[in-house]
Amino acid sequence: MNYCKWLSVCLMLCFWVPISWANQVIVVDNNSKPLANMVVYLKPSPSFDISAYPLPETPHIVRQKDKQFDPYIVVMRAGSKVAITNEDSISHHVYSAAGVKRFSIRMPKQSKSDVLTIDKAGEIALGCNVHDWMSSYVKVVDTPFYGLTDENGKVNFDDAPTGEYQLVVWHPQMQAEAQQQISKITLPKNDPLSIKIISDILPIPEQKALDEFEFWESY
Amino acid sequence: MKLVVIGLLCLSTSALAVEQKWSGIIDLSVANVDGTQSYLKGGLGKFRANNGTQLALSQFGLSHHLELSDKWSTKIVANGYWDNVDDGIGITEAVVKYRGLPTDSGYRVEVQAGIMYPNITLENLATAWASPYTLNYSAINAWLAEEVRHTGVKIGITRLGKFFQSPHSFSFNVEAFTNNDTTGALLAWHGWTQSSRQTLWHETIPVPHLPQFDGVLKGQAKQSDPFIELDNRLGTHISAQWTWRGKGRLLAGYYDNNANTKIVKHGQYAWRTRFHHLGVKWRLPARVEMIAQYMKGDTKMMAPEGFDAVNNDYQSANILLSRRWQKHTVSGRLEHFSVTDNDEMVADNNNESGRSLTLSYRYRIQRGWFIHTEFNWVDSERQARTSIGLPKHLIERQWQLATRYFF
Repeated sequence: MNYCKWLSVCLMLCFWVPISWANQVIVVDNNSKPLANMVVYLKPSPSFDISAYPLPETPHIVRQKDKQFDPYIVVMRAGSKVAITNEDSISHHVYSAAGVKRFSIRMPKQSKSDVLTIDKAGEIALGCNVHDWMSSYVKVVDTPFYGLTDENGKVNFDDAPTGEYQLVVWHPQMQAEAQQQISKITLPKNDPLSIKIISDILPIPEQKALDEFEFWESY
Repeated sequence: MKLVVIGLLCLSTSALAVEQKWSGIIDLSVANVDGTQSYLKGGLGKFRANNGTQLALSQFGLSHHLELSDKWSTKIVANGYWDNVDDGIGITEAVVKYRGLPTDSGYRVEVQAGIMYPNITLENLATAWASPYTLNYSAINAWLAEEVRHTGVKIGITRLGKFFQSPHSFSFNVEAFTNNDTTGALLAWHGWTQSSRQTLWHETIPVPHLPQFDGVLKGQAKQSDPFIELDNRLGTHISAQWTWRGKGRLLAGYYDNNANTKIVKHGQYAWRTRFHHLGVKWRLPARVEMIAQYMKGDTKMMAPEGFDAVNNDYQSANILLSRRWQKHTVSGRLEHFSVTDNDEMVADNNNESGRSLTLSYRYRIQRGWFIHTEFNWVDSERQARTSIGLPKHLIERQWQLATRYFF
């Protein structure tokens, strides 16, 4: 019994040792403060065969709840699917007027859109034609190695194989050409790689009506 | 996570081709007035209620929306009033709307046609043109509610800031309209009011029971019809709006009903009425909301003999501050208003100058259901009152307690 107890304590101690994730990227601003919700993706060389990495089957979901899109930024791989839901008790009218996929979907209360397949890499800016303050972005990337930074600015690329990549950091509010910053990296990396974003990142627009009252009509 | 996704995908897919929606407001109130007979009864009182205490269904508004397609919709608003002063039920607005999708360059075109308000108010934007802030409308909005509405076409273009990575959006609207040729008559003869009554499309409003209407102005009908077309000329209203996302908006415009003052039919005279308006709605620090509006204009009505029977300038300004704490909302509004009579018709003196204070408290019982109490104070001078035995200087007070249900 005692032997088992000591063994479990030893195992726990082993896991307490700080783990250094392989291929970890930390995105920080000019003041070295971590930046959350940044799209980070690795573009392999053109000869890299990405078809070995299957597309996710479950569609990404962009929700409309409390007259807001959630999440504000979705990143997905070209060829995968996305659906939009309306969980409010009012109608919405979602559109994408520019970018790689254009659509207009009138959505009655408590409804969902058809599942959309996004084939091309690029950006989709979602808006609601009833509520102009609502906005959301879908970033479509042509690589299986992508993610969003967490609240500590971290994102991991554990499954990216050895090789050279273009590391792209993108955010809709980044004040840079194409809202992105590109650097070159070689994997694997045993220590986290810190990427400093030189351009300003403007605050995310508040998805809220100017008026707090709930019963405004469209005048 | 997968369960959440599957759950979300189970939402109904009832994407109907045509979708309709009803919304409404029921406003039941008790009002106590210390003043004089209401303008709605031919008096010169500023409130819609007469002296004393009255129970009223102050507004029963019903709004029907029909979404015909992605871009086309209709909206019909009906209102009913049972207040023992001026009971009535009927249509107040009826429009067909086109709201295009933004282009890829970030511009959106909107078109609206039908019976509608000009795009001026910054307060009365809730269901059936109610104001969520106060029970009584501001003097400017009370005038719009009474006689500034029309049948028209409005075309607007908006430059959406989010397409330009900018918090600033701009709109420009042009309206052309008819059915507004007597606009200005009631403002001239009973002056500015502090009311919450919208004239129904079929209704007429009594001109005040003043001696000149049995004398020099006896050609004027006893009831003014605010939405009549007399001269078959189009009026115009142009307005521009700047919206700073999350901060506020600024609206400015110019209105000209372009009426031909040589026309009179069945005692309804065509009034040439023009005004500028400027309004701002802004979020101040400490979550205080501010709305301020200013209007300045003139109105003219011609006697059949060819001289100006009425030639008035008018203006009004107000500022409203509102702050919400959870279920409690407190709003206060200060106003100034005036009418300056420039014509030679001594027997018809339309001069007026006044100020008012509105203090309002709203308590939210549950979603859509509110208790609302309000104090109104109007201090005004109007020479015409002396012709019916009232003092030129009058202070009118009103207390209101209302329960309002929005749905």
